[in-house]
Amino acid sequence: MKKLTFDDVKDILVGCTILSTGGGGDLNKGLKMVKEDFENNLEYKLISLEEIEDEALFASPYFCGSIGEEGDKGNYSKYTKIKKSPAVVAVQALERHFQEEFSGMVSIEYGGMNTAVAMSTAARLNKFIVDADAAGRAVPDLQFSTFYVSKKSITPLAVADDVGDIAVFVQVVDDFRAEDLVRSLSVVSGGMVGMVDHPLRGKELRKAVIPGALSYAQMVGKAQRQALKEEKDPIKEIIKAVKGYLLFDGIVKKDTEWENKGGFTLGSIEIEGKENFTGQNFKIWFKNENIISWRNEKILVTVPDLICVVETDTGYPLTNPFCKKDMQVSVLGFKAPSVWRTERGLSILNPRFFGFDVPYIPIEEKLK
Amino acid sequence: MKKLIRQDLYDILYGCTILGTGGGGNLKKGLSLIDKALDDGKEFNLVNLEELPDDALIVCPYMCGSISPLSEEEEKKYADLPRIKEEPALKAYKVMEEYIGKKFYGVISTELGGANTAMAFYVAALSGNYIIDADPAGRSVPELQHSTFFINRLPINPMVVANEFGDVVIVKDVVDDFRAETLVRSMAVVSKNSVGVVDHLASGKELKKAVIPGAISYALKIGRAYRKAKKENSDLALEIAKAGSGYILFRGRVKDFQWEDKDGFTIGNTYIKGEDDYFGTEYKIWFKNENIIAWRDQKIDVTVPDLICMICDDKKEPLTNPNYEIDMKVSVIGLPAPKEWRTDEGLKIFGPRYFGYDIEYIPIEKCFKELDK
Repeated sequence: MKKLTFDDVKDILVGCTILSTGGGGDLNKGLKMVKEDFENNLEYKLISLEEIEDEALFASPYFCGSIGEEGDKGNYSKYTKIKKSPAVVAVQALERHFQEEFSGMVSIEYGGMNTAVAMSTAARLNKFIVDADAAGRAVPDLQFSTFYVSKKSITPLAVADDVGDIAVFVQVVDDFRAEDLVRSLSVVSGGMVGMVDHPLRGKELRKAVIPGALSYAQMVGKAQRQALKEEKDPIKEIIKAVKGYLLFDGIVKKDTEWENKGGFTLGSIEIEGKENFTGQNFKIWFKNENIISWRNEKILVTVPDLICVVETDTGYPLTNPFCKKDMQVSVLGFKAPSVWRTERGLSILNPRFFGFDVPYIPIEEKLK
Repeated sequence: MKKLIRQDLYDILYGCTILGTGGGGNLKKGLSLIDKALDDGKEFNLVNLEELPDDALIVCPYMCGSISPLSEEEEKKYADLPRIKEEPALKAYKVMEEYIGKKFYGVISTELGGANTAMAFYVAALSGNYIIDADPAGRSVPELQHSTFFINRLPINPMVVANEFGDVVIVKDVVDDFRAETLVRSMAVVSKNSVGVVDHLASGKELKKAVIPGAISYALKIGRAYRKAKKENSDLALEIAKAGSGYILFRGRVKDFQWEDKDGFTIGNTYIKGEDDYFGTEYKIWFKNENIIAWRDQKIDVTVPDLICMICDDKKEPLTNPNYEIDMKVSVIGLPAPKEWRTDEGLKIFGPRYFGYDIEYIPIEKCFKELDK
């Protein structure tokens, strides 16, 4: 077990945001939440998968939102907001359901916001933060999680809004139905609910998530922070820290074009090369997260490998759809966590799922 | 305790449909549920509130729907999902029993209506439990808070919601009954517009103070009068009015009707042209799922909470909204509301003012002369 300092947590969240391939929520909101916790002297206790107890109970808390909902559905605004975070309320509701306390919280996917919610919820309830993640990147759909790959049940799951309503799902047809139902509740609950799902015993959890995922993200965030402090090139330092690849350097051609469709943000980023890439161009297509990239009109890196856009000068992550015209950016590539490269992993997260009829070629082969 | 036979059950559901004042769901669906249970050898046992033990546990099962149209994509999505074998309301009942960890004694209906009362009966029969001779509305009502549960502050939660696919959710805490309804309805929207619900868990002691006693027996009385009149080819409206200590309000033919789906409610007007004794006059009924206010020649005639019931004299069947046809021969019957609705608190939430009509409620018996008995 390791107690994290504020800088440690910040490194983890910056790292998660860089590795979240454009998604994962608002880093600033995540940092604000964590800052509040440290001001309240809460402890962030990181525990490795080796250290957790076999029979202890763990679960993943996060926020589930519905984008683009208008109006005050369900007359929601007239209700008094509760002070607690809905994710905290949801965890406590699930504990009452189990009649047992959870030992720790697990991040459902990398993201400046999502990972922060998991960590902060753990801190607020004096629980462990498990050094692991269920995606090792950010993912646009529910089924892109290692829980799904390893066939772990999403239920029982608890949902709470920020006025005091609580529901526990005891049984669902599948994860997709769970998502539909939770989303329908969020639509009439101010557009956002806190939830906690995938309750698992330690011995099952070990086989169902990516080990060391937060430490890995921390290496990325730390490399970025120290590079700036020591006036080194943050891009090079990040790449060195976790064996990444520089895919492109350049200037964003125009403001990102995007649309909201079925609850997702879809769009593309176009970059014109400079320095070693002068005269070349780069394009990324995203569905919340960066899915596929082309260098000079030829497919380069695709899911499940990671395509990450950062500011060239600072190495600071850029989330979708916030790439603006004339920004100087670098595109980094990283190997996907090994679970996504297994047969079952690839059968779920691959370019074809998103409508691109091309085979997946691992980044290290592509960039040999 | 009284064991209900098929004839009783049919009479009750017909009575409920008449007392449904235009709402309360599809009678055919209700009758088929009853048939299904009887054909499986199940029993329907009715107990009155005096017989109900104080420590007995009772719940209220029903179906909650939404009428949003399904997109092609949704149709396809639903078509691919598995189906459970039992009625969602029964599934919800079983999960609630398991969640509470105690055996339930019986069920109470959520309102009197052709389908809703039948669903409560069905759940009782299939689970081998009792039906309580009472109801929280004593008629059909358009909104959740139009219930003596609400007036008497009986908590709605915990609730169990289940759909035909097998998704089951326990709504443990709600801020109030309105949020409860909003949350349940939102789940119906993504469940092919229909979920089974079980709520208002109460002990016998709590329930006795929070419902209208004898409501099922009352429906049975109305249904019997209807059946007898139909068999003997006598005046349906008159016999029903007599059985319910009510009045004939109007007779004539449907001249026009319009309605729309608005926020999940069926809202509209029915216009009737007088015949016989009523020749030369006109009647109008405004409905929000149920018939709410009636005007005779533009003058307010009867309002909620009193019951405005309609019979189709051509088909000799009770009418539900908005199933009218132009020129259909109809009779309108007025019945006095259960006394629970005539209290100050009852009128506050279920009087004409609640529906935006700034008029005093005048009990029906003060406006009309007694029928010749």
